[in-house]
Amino acid sequence: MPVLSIENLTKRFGGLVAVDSVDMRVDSGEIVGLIGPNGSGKTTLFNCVAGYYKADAGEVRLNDEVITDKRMEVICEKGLYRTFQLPRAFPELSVLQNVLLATQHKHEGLLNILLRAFSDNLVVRAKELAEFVGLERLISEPAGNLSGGQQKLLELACALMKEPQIILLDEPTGGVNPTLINDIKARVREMNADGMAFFIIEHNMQVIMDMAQRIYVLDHGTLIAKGTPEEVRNNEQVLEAYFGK
Amino acid sequence: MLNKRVRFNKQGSTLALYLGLLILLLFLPRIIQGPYYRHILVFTLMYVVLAQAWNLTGGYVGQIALGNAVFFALGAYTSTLLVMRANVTPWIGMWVGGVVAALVALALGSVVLKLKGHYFAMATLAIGEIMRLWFSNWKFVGGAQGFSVPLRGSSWYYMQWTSKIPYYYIILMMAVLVTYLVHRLDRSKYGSYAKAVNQDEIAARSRGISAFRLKQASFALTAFITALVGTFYAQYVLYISPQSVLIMSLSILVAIIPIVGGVGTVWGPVLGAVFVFPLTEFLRAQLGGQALGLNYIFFGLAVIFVVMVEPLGLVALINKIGQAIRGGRGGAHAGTEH
Repeated sequence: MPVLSIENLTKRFGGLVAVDSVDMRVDSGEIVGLIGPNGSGKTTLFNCVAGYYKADAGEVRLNDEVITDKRMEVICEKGLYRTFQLPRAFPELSVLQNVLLATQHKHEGLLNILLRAFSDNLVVRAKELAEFVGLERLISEPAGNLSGGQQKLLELACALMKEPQIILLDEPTGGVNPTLINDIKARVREMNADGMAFFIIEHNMQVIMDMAQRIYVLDHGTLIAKGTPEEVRNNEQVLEAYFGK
Repeated sequence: MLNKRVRFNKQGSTLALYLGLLILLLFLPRIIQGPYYRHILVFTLMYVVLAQAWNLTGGYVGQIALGNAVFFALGAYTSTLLVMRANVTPWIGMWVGGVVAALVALALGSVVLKLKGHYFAMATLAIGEIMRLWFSNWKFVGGAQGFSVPLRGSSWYYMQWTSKIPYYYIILMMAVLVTYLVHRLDRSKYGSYAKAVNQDEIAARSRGISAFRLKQASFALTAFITALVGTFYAQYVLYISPQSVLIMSLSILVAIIPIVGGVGTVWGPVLGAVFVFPLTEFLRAQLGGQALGLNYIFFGLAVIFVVMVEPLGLVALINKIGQAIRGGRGGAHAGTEH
């Protein structure tokens, strides 16, 4: 059963068609990869799905509910959590507070927000998640003091705090050292073993071939290939897109 | 164990500091004599409350408003009209004014809060000016002449006294309550969410925080508190007109105070008001009519000073000095241990 299904999604910037009637889907419990050369429209696609951009055409469904053109925060609360290529932690807030901010906001009344602090249960949960991604010793450190890789791990903890249906990761290993890459991979695998679905943009071919069950390939906004890592690796169009004729 | 005791001591000393401050404030009108100096006391506290209100929108969610005189005037005009036309006590009128201002803030906010940075500041500035011109030409609200609140001597019902002392205690109570409210908000989820929205709105929204709802709530609360002070002002000065309550300089002063004191902090507006207001009032009194507008030059210099020396304001400056002293002591202590 698909958690996320994208049909005929199109996004134009003036004359440029950044995403051209793309169909994709991610089933529950799956890790799906999204690759393509620079400027092929991967992040634009994520931005349309997560509500950052308004799509020009097409439909996005989360668990059969249409979420096209809903606001970012609404889509997030419905269970689609996305991270950014450049981690967007709140630099002046502590690691713990960063995780706490990603708690579910759906049922929070305004008075509750204005007058109550985070409940002890949430604080305990946030600490567990910080521990899960290996940041337990940095819990009260301002997030701005973390390295790029640690901030990517922090994003994973935030994503889990939300307890979403699916997590969209935009280059989770970009600019991260090999040891931390293994950490990130291991955490994603563990989360996936617990049933979490992932949709991952990744430039590191080894990483994505290793992790994803299926892969989509975009080039100039169009879907040029899809299939298992093996199929994609041997696809001529893909090789052409990356290396030229 | 030791750690616990240290923390307890620290909490204890903070509490003692607040209590001492409160006692000092309670007895201040006894220490400070003379109507002029007491007037400065009342106005300083008034600006504490106005700056706290501004800080919720300008400091916490980071929307720099330059039109708060609108809400101040709505409070002043609503309660004054109610008492003049319907004999409603200002004690009720002030809450009506607060609600009117909050509703106006929600209506205006649904449009202007979509603007960011300078655009929001310019829009609120323009709204303030539009309302000043509108009220100046509207007979129902007294036009450009405004209203003199009918004198009733000293009367609780009409919230007016011939002495300044009751006004002092009313505005002191407001300042203490509003500062406590902001302290509570700062510690609540609101505090974290607002800081997040202020630092990176997209990131906050991508974590499911409804930035717009938070801004609306802040703006309405700002308006509500500002309007309460508006009623207080009308009852204290007993005269309101577009030239006294709808002026741009009021909107700008309530923004400058927290910026100098420290935006997005609980004590910034307090320190800012205590520092800025008496000084400008002193300058104005000393220079009289000789150098009209010199106090604005002073505002400008104060803001430039803050931006260059300590962008986080007086609160951060005092924290740094405190840390330096404690650090120095701590260092000496560590030295003796070795």
